[in-house]
Amino acid sequence: MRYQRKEGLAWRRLDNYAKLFPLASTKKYKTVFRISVVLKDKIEPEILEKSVKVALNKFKFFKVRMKKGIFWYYFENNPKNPIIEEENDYPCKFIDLPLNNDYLFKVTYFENKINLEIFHCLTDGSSAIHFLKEITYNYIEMKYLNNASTALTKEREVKYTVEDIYSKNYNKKIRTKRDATKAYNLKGRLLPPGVVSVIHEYMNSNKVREVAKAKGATITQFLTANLIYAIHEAGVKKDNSKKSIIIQVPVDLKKYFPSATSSNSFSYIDIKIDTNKISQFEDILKEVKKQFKEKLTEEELLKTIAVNLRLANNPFLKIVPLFLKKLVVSIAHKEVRKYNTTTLSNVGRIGIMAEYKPYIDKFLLLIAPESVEKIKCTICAYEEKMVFSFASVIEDKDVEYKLKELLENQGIEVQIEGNEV
Amino acid sequence: MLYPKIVSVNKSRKITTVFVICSIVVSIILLIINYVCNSKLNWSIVAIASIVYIWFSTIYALDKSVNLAGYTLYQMISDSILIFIIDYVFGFRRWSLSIGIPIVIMISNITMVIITIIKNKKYVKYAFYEMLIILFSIIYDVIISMASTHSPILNIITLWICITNLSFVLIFNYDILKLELEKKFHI
Repeated sequence: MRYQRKEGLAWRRLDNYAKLFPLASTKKYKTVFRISVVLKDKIEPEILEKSVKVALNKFKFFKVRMKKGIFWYYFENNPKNPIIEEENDYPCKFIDLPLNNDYLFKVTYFENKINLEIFHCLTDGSSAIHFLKEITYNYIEMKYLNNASTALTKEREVKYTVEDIYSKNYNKKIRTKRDATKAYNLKGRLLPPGVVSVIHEYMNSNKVREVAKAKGATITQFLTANLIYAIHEAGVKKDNSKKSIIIQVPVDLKKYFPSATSSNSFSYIDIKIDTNKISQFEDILKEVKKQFKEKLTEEELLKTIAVNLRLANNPFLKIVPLFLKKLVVSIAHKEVRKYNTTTLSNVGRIGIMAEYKPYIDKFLLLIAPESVEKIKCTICAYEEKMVFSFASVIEDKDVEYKLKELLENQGIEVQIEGNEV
Repeated sequence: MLYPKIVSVNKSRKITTVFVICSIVVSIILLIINYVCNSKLNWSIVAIASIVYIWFSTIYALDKSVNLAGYTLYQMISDSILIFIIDYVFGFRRWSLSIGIPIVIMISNITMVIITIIKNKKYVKYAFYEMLIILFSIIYDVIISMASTHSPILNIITLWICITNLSFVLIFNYDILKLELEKKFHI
């Protein structure tokens, strides 16, 4: 990473994973995700605006705009102020950079909710959560705590780097190929262009942990197996498909390769189940547990990094002009996306400092769905409230309701809320 | 409530159906008029092709979530050039100047009025483009009305539509427009 001394001239390269996003992204394939925090009172826009500005001064990492180089995109300091506006559209829309003062994130509010939408080339979920938490802390301090004590502020001091975790752990010698099996893709009548349906399924996290533990699984394994079974029952069976269900599960690399980076630091594992061979829930869960054990290792993650970086580090590709790269990558990436049925991202429990907890109700996470991966799923938890969210571009809600039914049959109470599309 | 209530999918599908039916009815009427008038020129085919083209453009614009006003301006200019080229290629009978381009301008201005009404909260994004559309429309209509040797009736109708559009802007969105123009032209 290169930095100039003067802030106004500072620039940096995109990390090796992020390089792909602006190349692959189109207005249909948005590579945007949203993290929301729901407070217990209505949001005051003026205070929110101040909170974002204060947070941005602390997280200068986010104060950038993306520019085109001859061969790659790069980030440079963004001198403009971010735009804060009321939510008046569907979630995870394509961030139109010129209309957003060139920022790669967007803050909106609605009733009690603050939304942070981020273009994935800037960062991943874990850093985005830190940024949203900082905005929320600032907001609560300004509105309720008459500004924080020095002790609280000190406790929240941020230290981050812009290290490229992929380059650091890239091993050229690892030779492996990506499994190029096309996955089952959900069918159904598409919603009108731009419309995204959202369904949040609320559960008690202790209860989910208890049920998962009784089956010898982690929460992610348990919910992945339930999602696969729901897709099997509501999709594969109905369409009489012979293809496997493949769930892409993002993994936070910082847990395996310690780093303080705020850049993207995630990889993924693919959980592949041929439901034509394994169709009972208990067998699916057994297979999911087995695959998690096999694939969630440093060695396997290094292989995935190597596969993804080999292309970006290809000396011939490096010197191809950006516009040609974009053309090729956007076409190729549409094919790659056919290797997954859906994505299930679990960011886990979001921890909040005790002083701020009384003002926060819940957190929500959404990933932009698109025409190939028509639904995207996320899990996050705050205190005892766990939220399994679906963002979808199809009218049918069969998978969403099937999952609810499955969980309830296992003794987990599920409440549903959404945007009523 | 967690999310704002946006136009329901059923409602939007119904609106689309109504517009599709209207387009078909208008197309049939144009064909009949063209046939009854026994015109040597199959102008109705061009008009119907334009309606189909507008449909494709609208679907594209909605799908790509572009700035609708910017897209309308772009369409207005590109369509006008295209129509002029078609006219020129087929012997330059000047129907592009007296019929084709005025229709494009009329549709663009009506589109802008509809966009402004439906998406009034986002008007700040559209203000500058709407002014350019109105400006282009008025200049074009004034020049053609003055220079045309044919009856410029369609140009005069179009000019009135533009003036009505401008009046709407000045009455309902003057403050936003003023701010946008200050931003764009500050020295």
